[in-house]
Amino acid sequence: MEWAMIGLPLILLVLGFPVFLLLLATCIVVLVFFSNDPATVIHQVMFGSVSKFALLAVPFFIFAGEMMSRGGVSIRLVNWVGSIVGGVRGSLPLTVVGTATVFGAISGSTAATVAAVGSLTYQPLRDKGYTESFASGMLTSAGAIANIIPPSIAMILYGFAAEASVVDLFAAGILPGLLLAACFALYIFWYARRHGIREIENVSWRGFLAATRSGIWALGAPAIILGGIYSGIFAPTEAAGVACVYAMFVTVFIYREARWQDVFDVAATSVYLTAQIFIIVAFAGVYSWLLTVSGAAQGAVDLIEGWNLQPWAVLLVINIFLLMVGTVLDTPSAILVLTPLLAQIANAVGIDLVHFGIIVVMNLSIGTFTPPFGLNIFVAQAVFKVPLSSLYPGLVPFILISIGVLGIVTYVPGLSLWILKFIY
Amino acid sequence: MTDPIDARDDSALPEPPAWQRHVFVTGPRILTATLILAGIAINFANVVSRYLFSFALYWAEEIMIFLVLWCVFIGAVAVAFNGAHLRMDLVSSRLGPPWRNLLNGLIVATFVVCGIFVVVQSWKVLDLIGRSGDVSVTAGVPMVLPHAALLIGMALAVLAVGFRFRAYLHNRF
Repeated sequence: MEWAMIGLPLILLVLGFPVFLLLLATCIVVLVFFSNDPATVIHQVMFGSVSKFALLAVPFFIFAGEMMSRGGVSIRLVNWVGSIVGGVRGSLPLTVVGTATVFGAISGSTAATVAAVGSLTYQPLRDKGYTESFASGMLTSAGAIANIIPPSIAMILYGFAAEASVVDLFAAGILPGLLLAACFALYIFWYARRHGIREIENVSWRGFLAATRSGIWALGAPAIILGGIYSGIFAPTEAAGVACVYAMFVTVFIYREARWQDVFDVAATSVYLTAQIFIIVAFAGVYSWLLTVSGAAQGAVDLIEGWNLQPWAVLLVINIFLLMVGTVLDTPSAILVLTPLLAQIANAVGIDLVHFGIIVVMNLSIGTFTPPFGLNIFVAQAVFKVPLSSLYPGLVPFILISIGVLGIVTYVPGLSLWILKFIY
Repeated sequence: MTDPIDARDDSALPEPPAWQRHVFVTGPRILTATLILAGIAINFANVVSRYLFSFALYWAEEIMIFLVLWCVFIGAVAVAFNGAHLRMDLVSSRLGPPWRNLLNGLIVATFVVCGIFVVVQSWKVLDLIGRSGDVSVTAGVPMVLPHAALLIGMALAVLAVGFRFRAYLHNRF
């Protein structure tokens, strides 16, 4: 049965079956041929898997992010970050990284961040003399920061699958996300110096104050979301609901760049994206339940324990595996399919599940902009109209930097967990 | 990997009849958008009433969960109709037409068989819950209502795949 539970989904995945269907087919095969449990358990566990209060945050955060990206928030964030870093060499790409970080604190979605920030800044980057390869590669990579900076949809899904605290995961992602942004910024600064790009904007207190005044409502979103959660006022799901209302209020009434029809469209799109993810959540719940009750998960843990690997070696193997998975499978599917097994292995060798969550999310975030099939690559291709032959070389330095940061995050748990001391 | 948003390409196959789009895409779109907006309103009202009026809407959590359940399984109908389920097509996209069509046919057959299996199991559970008359703990909603989302959603998704059989076979939506 263990081989059916692990081998069958892998075969169906490679054959191109929809992720929810490969999980469902595996569960049915196991229930019909290898198990004494009644088949009605499929319905009951599906229902229980989607009926989690913490998961409600996902559609709400998707809605808030979509609403903000359509309603004039992105341009104000770009202007605000630009008013701070404009005096530095490489100011525009630095602005992109800064904006992706702030936007990630609103949307929690890498693809939305690439589309929202990239559509505004790609052409100006080209006009300032940055090559097609660098501009598209940098924009595609910068979006991944949104997965690590809270709120993060990937972390909510990991929290569900590993039964880890979403609040802790959000907090643990702050420093690794900022470290990744800082490393990107250092590389950009070096690149601009090396290529003699003297693109510097005039910055002044007056300009900064004007940009802040214009962007204050946009900047209020992360303050409300994160401030609300960590001051203990909201649970993440409630914060997501408040963020939705705030996003509607700002874009419809303050900026007046969205209409009620847009609100309805965003609601429909958010549910559509949620349905794509949650149908996997439903069947991943059944798969995870079967992994546990069948003893397959324990069998895998026993096997790994039998190898007597040190935790650092287990993490190395898992990192390599997840980096490869991330290049061919989207982040939500990878988290929902793999976490039930990997979390048990991590737990068995004494790795903190919150720290492990940051490692998983970071690996899969790198996958979103790693050739050949990172999701953000396709988003960038659609938004920037850049050939892959030009885009791929531009990604390489950012992939290497990200892997370097991943190494630090993996082997310095304090970087993720240190901040948790201040929450409790 | 399939781009979840731009998965539709109707260039090579005839458009599905308008009534199918209404039933499997437009209808679910209007229904689920309304439900999620209602969920947002309840969530916000709960936060406001708790912090401003020290009064929690004790039923809010359950109702939001039930609304999202309906959103997910009715939204999944539109996803099935558009062939937009998340998948990894690294291998299948490189196969030649006969093998690719065979594989796509296998995917459709698996979808239909597994979908019907789930529908049958859901019907059994619903029958049991309906006869027991269970209601939810705080909101007092008959439990048959949220559970019905799975049955109806999966049944409609199977129908949607059946109607879009040719599109699935050629992977053109």
